[in-house]
Amino acid sequence: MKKSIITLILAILLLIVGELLLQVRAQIRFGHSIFKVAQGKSTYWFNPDLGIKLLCPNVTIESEKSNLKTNSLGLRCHEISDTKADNEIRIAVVGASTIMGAYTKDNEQLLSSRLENSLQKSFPDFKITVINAGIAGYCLQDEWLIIEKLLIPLGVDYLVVYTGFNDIGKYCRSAVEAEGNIPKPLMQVSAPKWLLTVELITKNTVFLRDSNTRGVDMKDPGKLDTGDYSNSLRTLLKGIVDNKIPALIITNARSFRREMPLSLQLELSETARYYLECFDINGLHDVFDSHNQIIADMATEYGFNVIPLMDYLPGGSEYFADATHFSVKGTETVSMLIDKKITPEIKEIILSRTNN
Amino acid sequence: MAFQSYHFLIFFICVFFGTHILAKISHSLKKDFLLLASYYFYSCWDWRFSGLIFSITVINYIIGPLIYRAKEKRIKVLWLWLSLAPSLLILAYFKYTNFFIGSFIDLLAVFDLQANLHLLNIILPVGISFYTFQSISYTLDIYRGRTTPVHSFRDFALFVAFFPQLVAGPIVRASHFLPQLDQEPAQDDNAIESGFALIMRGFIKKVIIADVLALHIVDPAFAQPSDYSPIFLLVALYSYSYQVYMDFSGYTDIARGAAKSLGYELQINFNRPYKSQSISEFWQRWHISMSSFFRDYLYFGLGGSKYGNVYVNLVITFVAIGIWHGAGWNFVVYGLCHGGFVGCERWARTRRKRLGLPEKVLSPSRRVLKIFFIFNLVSLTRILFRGGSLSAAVEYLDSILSFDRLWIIPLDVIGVTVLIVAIIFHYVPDFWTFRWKDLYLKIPTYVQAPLIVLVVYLMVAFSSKSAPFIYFQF
Repeated sequence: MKKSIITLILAILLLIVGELLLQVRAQIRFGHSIFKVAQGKSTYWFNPDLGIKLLCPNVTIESEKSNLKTNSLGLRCHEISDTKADNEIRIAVVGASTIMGAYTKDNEQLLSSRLENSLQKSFPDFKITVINAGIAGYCLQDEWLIIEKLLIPLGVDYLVVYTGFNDIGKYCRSAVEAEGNIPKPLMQVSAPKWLLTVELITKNTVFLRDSNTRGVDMKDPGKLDTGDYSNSLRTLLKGIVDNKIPALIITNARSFRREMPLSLQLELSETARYYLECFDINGLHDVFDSHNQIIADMATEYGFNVIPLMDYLPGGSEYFADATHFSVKGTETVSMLIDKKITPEIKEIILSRTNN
Repeated sequence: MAFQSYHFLIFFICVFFGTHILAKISHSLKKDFLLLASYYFYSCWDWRFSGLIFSITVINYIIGPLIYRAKEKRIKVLWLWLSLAPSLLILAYFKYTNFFIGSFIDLLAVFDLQANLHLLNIILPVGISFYTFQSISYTLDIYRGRTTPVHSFRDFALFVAFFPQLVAGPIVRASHFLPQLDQEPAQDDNAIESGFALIMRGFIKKVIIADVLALHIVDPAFAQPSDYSPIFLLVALYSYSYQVYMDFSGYTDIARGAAKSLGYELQINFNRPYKSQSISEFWQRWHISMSSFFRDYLYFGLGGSKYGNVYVNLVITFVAIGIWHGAGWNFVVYGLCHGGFVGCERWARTRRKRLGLPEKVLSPSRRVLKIFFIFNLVSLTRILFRGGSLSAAVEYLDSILSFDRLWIIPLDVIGVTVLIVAIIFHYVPDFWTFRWKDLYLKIPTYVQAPLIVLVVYLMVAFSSKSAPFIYFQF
């Protein structure tokens, strides 16, 4: 066979071997890879009855980074019974990957578990159940769906909502879609989502694409149409109010802060700039702050308690595992903060239940 | 389908192995497969426009033999115009309709008149300027007796639509490409390896040099020139010269490399243009297939230096080159500038000859200075090319000449490093390039393969914001 053909075949094989090694690494570190998908064992599943994406029910995904155990509902949480005991107070923490515990090793270290333990100590005569209703990738619409379809039927007494940043990614995706609208191409073959070579290289080389200037393809946060975001948030908050569930709304925190040196901001914000590639570092600050303002304003308008988390949780790698996900210390701090904030309201719930 | 996409990687691997397997069965089968692949490649931009290429192909294929067989010159001319008119009208409609409408509206506005005219919502088919010119070169060559009509429709269709050069050239001449389709290409291992090396070089030029220069220096400067210092704007202008060169010559390298690995040769399109010591020389080194097309078919057609006024012929040719690049007054002025420069150079040469003076011999240092001067002149006219409009070009020039923000020079390490690499890449002596190529061909498979993988990884790292090739818009 010709040398050139052997070279090409060898190069293709090397690319495949590289990808396989990355998949093995992902299996060991995170417990999910293409091998699991090939076996029909995916981490997530779509519940057709409820119409929402959840984790696969009753599975244990063990890996170096985390031991993820799910209950029969498809939540990273202990089992929740269908019927609520008379002395039981049910609290649900709703959100996306940060709440699900993307960087939390065991279920016992989750924000919801920590909150449950501390509240249980404060209310020993009652059974405190904190449901972890965080699913990675959730947007506001999903968060409302899980509240409406899963949590309200479970009889939750209190909701803690940490919306997360996934909705902001829609601004970047819509730009790409709009540009591709005019011509009519044949079906395009794009790299499959499970391909780790592309993801890992792009994720770890964000600095190569950094620039000291605002790139022309970057979005200007001041010119974003936040109408869809506000509508989704309104649906969520109004839904909670209509169902008469008291709730605590927490605005989103991030590890990188404006007052930090630029090099540190860039280092801490790498994952955010990877997922939200249409914003540069200043754009990220602006877009996160403006959306936090929308959350705070609307939550206040509906009469909810609000924690502006950026004011309470310091930035940096001590409290965050990456740009937006809490570290162990971050989780602990937020859990204590929530505990302090909701304890009086839980007392009120208990009081009103005792009176009734 | 962009060259720097996952889709193209899969497509090319399939086409490469497909053609090599089919070539063993029958050369004809290989050409059928290549034709299908080329139409698929183009349809991935917009399937509707594959009908456009097909129409242009059919028209020129039918009329070619009619020109050849016509005995009288006026009949030949008639057939020639019957082939040129539809191709040029299609090009004019897609590329220039809105330019004419817009200019007419502007003209009326000067006289305070209003017309009930609106710009049309026309999508510019990718590469239309390239494949239109390529197909009309066929009938023009038959008319001038430089080539004979091709018998096989499939071969002619493949000549027009051959995917490596379909969307951004080089503009291949029928007399160069069609004979290659007649003979069975030798399955030369060295040619395939050279092809791969060219593809890799093209990707490095495009993704690692051109796109990085655009992201770090050029795009921000041209987007908001009034925000930056004259020094940064000047560096951005030089960077743009290298960006456009690396982008376009990178595309040509990929096209030539892909064609070579499939058994076909495409012509060289660039020859270190920024080494030119005159604007005339620049056009002999820059986009050679296009400038030679205009020289052979327009400049000589107008009379060249033999009939009519040579300076008028030069200006017409360069204005045509300008508007070939885009429909806008900035491109007209771009053409006028270059036509004017080449005209001046010609006048100086002619005057020297007339006075009986010998040709100037420059010392090495003066030669370097002259090269730098020509590079500056070319870069300066690129403001018209990049600005998008005359007013944008004026704004950029105005910002370069203002001294308000002297210290706003947001250059970063990556941008500056890549600019230096681009300069070295361009000025590296020819013999070094040949030595590197020889070295690459000599290294064993187990070293070549990881090199290919490394280039793929580098592309992935740099290309998350990769822009389309600049010349796709033409």
